[in-house]
Amino acid sequence: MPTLDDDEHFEAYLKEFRPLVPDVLPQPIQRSSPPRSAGWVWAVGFATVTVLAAISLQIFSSRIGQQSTAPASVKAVNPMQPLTIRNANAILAAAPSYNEAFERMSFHNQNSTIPKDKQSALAILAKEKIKL
Amino acid sequence: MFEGKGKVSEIELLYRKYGAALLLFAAAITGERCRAQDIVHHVFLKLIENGNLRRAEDKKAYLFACVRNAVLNEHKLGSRLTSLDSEMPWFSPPDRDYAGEQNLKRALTALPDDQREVVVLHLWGEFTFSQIGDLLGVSSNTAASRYRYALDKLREAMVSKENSRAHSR
Repeated sequence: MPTLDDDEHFEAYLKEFRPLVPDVLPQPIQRSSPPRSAGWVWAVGFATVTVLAAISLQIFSSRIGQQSTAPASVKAVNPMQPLTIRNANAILAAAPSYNEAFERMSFHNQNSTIPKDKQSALAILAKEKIKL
Repeated sequence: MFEGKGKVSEIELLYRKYGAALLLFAAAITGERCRAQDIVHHVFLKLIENGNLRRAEDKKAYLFACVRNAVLNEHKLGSRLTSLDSEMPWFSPPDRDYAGEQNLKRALTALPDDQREVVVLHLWGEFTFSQIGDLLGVSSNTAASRYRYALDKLREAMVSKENSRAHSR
């Protein structure tokens, strides 16, 4: 070892000792990932669009169905419709008062829809005089 | 996940550049070269996996801090630090001065932990005292004074060992 009285020489001497180089860095474990080719991306995009279209179509059709069934009150007002429990409920819900509701539910004269050249069985039976 | 080969090659470059100093630093704390190497590898593999290095402004200082934290965390987890008397060399000596290498290693291991850290960081890590202060969480003056004490002790230890070797011949 040389004579190393001053710090600079001593530091220079110490730096001559080079730290040992470590072993080669081990390869990191690569996790398997699916290949992300352009085709794969397109397929995912197409599938997404298809699913979205199907969902929106279903929502649209269900809304249309609701619209066709929802205005029961409108049907209830129509006196030509037969009075069912559903219609009665709809009338009760829509009418401003009970009296009005009963009025709407009451029977109205109905014009016969049977053509003139034909007769209904009920009408024929009504004309017959049945002796009991 | 891996962002790309560019990131890995950057980390490999850093490993080649600072790996030796980092290994010495870790060995100076753990006292065991094999364990030190495991820790350095672990730190680099984690960096490859997480890609945290991009956020670091001073990558060299960040690497040394990571290694130091990894060593201290391992110590906290319960694995005792072994005594610094392993026979494995830490340095590649000049002119095949293997006896000098053993002297230096013994003199280093005889230093207190805080002084040993500062000596390794300044001499072989080539950090300034200000950078060492930031890394260890002390002032630059403290780092400098620790270095001064350590250098005196090293010189004393190495000269006395050299003299005893000369007398024994």
